[in-house]
Amino acid sequence: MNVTDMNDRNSAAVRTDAVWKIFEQEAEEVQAVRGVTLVIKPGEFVAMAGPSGSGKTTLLNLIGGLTRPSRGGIWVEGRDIAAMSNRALARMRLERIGFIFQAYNLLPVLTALENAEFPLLLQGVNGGERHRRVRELFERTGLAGLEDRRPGKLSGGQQQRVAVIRAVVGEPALVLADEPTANLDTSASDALLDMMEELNRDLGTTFVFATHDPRVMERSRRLIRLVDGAIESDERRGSEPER
Amino acid sequence: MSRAIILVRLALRNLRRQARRSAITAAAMIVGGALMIFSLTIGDGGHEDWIRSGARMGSGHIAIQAPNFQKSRKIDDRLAASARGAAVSALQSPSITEHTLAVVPQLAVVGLASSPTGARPAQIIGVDPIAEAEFSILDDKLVEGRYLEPDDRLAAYVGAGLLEGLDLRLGSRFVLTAQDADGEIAGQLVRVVGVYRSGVPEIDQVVIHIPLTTAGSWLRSGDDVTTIAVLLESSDRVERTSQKLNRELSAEIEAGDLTVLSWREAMPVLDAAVRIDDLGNYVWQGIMFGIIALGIVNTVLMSVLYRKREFGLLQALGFTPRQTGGLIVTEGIILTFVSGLIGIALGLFLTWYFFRDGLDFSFAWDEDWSFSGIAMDPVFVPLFRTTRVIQSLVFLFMIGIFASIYPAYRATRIDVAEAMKFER
Amino acid sequence: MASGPWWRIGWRNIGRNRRRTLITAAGLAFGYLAVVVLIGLMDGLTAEMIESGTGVLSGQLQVHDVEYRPERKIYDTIGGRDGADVERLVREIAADPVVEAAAPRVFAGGLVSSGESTVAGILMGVDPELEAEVSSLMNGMVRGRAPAAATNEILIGTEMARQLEVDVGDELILVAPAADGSMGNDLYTVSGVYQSGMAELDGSYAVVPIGTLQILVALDPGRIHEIAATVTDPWMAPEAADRLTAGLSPLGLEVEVAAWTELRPEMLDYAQLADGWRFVVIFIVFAIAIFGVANTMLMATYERRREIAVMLALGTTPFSIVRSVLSEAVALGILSLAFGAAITFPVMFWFHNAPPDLSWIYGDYTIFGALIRPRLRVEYNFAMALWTGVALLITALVASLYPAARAARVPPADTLSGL
Repeated sequence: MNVTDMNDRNSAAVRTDAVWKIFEQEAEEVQAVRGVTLVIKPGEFVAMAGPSGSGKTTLLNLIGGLTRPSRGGIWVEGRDIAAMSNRALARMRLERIGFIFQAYNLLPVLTALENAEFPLLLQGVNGGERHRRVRELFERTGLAGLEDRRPGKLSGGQQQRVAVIRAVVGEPALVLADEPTANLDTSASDALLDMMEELNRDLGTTFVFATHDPRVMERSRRLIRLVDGAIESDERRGSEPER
Repeated sequence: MSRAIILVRLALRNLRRQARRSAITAAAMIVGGALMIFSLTIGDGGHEDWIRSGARMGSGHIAIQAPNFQKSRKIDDRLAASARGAAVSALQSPSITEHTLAVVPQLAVVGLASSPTGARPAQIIGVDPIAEAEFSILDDKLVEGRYLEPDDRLAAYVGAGLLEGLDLRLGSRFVLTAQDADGEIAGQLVRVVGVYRSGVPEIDQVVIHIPLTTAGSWLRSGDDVTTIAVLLESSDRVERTSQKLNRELSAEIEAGDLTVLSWREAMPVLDAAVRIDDLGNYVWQGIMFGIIALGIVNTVLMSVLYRKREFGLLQALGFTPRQTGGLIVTEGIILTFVSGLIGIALGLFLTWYFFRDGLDFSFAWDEDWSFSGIAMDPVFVPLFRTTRVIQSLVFLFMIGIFASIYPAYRATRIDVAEAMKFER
Repeated sequence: MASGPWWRIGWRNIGRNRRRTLITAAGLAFGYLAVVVLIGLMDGLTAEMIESGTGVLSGQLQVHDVEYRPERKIYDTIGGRDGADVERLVREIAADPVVEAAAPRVFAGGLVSSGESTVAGILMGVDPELEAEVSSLMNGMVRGRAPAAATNEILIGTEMARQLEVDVGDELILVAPAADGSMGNDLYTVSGVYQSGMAELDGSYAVVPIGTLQILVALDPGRIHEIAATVTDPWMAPEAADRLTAGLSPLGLEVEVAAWTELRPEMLDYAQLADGWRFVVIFIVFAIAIFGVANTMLMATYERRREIAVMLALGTTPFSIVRSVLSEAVALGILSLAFGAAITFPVMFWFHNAPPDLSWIYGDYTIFGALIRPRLRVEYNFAMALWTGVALLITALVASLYPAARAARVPPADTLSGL
């Protein structure tokens, strides 16, 4: 957001500079991400595609600060992730980044409503405000009436919609989604994408997907293809969203 | 046979796979086992000390007396010369002398000790000074003067409590009065040659040692004694020795001439104290291992639930439910037994290393703590007994079996089809 | 941030693997039961020892001439050779707010003879009415009755009766050295036989009316050796002793007022050691229980490492993860405590009101000469029950520190992709 408007570089939602991620596995060295440099501007709706093992999930985790790069730099909204403490990273994820996972990953002991409001709870938003915001999103996404169900009693599509609400309810600048449609059928996938597009349009939230679902690629406005941990192609499709 | 080996091997691998969980469960067992062996050895050491001190302040580990004497405490109920002879020769059989430290004659009567200041009931024991010095610990508790010597005639060795009560001092004369062998009240003037303090009021205020010869002439009982007191090397020998004596002296016993009393019968109060202390120890172990067993149940049960699929597979490969259960019990037993063994070894080592000279409670009490007729030594010297180690191992083994039964039962009830259905 | 969702998450998490939670809670609850009952038993033993040690004969307070103890000479009576106004002294002592009753006593050593047999005994001269309030000997009659005042009647123990082969109604000769150096003797009739359970006592103490004994041992009516008193609560005795020392000083007598804590310092030592021992018991029991809880929490957090990774990804700080695990441990602790209290208090109530009889395992025994009966007597100790509860919760917390620390170090990216 308005961290600074010193220059263009700092106004990027995400910027990576020759990022490498190397895992030591047994005696073997796995280069998951190999020198990726890219800039994602605020409001973009980006899909990162590639076969499994291409490094897209790792790249997403690097951007989200869930794992630290072996080499190179990453800036989110102009802030150097490498220089941040775990605590500061947690705070940044809480306030600026939303995550959506392939396996939904709702907390099973919490109800749909409680799962959705989890980031707001962490942010210390008061109860009335939390419920107002979550209920509004439940209404918009057709989940009204399911608030008190535990995840186990929801369908896959419903769970993923709760997960999306959880990712956006704190009004983050950036949502990172790892294969969000992988476990959903066509209609559920479409509904989910509709919802995310709408949020992108209405709130200006930046979305970055890691996916190999053709429908997601089709609806993205920028498609980055990764192969063996490096960018193979980076093409813009359609128009930039109106801010 | 080979099947058993497979079970053990599988069980070992599973325990290794859950190393952290196994380690925590094992840690509980190790701590528990070590504590158990520690408290048992210290307890046994304490008890042995109590028994020995009770025996050496009174009538030994085993006392041979006339049947009625224990109750009557009267000189009428002294040992007949023939009975005494039989008892002495029975005590000389090699299998008994081997474990005997001392055999002493005692002539014990109840009487009155009086001085110009007042009079006190007293338990007067006529002793053989040399033998008794070997046998009794009262001579070690000397605080003033000396113990009786063979040439003493009118000498008395008295407790500090009685000395104070009668306002006597070393060298003072006082009078002993008691019923003699003829039923007359007889008095005897004696002189204080030594004073002891045992820490037990029941002894210090009551027990007086005088030479047996003095007692014999005073009470007109000649060389007769009321008690032959036997001190053994260990209280472990009491049962066997008294059985043997009972066998050898069966003729005299049947004739009602004598009876063989163990310390338990001669000192029922001390017996009760030892029993309650042991009982307390067992209850304590029961509690600790109850808690530990629940921990083992949990660990083994969880490993069953995590491995449903694996058990399904084993059963699909031809393991019977019984064998599956056996695997779980094997795991439980290995876990408890190995860790228990380590715990016991550790307990033995630590107890030996740190406390072989005794666990010292003298910060909490000194030697004037007494109960059930003995002074409680604040230093507990551990006693290591093989039977205790074996008992403990068997106990741990049982814990292992009991704690695995429920998880094993759960494992036998796994539905193979259900367990195999889910591809992750 | 308010209490946050951690408490809710922790509480609900313990419900996820009910069987495991139940077994773990059972371990802690059993530990709680064991500690509270053991402490109750230890307190019961101490109370029994003090009651029995002071109630049979000595009372919880004794007043003597300063010279009397420890020699207990027959002429060291209260007030010296002149004696004292016994009635007034007894009245003043009995007037103390915590004193229940007080009774004067005269002691003499002597021989008791039935003609056939003779035993040595301690003769205790008492005021039968007052003594009945102080010493349980007077109420422990198995046959006959207490001696009547100013008669030549005597109460002896079962053991002495057996040794002398006499019973109620038989005559006994008492011979005792008197205060003036002469030997007193007189004929007495057995009015009753008591049993205290302690063979030495039953074989040596004989109770006669105070006036008669004073005549036997040539003491004036104003000369007594001791005034023994009972108090409402043994632990108030030292305080009462101080108060009486001050209160009796205007009488101008050289007396000492000693509480049982001073007369029997070893009993006080024992009670204090037992007090300290309670904490050893708590420590050991929960030190053993801690492993079970640690294991459960470790399994629980291991199973949920994926959820923990999600929470971390959503911006939860590692510290908050620790809090959620600790909340779960506290929830487990509270559940265990409720469970423990539910099984403990009925047991305590039962033991307290109907102490189980263990005489089939062991007989009477003595501590410091005090008779302890073979039964499981427990005393309520609510303060310790509370402390034990606190110890239980601390145990649950400490046991979960390591699992919590491991949970907080879950690597989110690896865990989420690794599965």
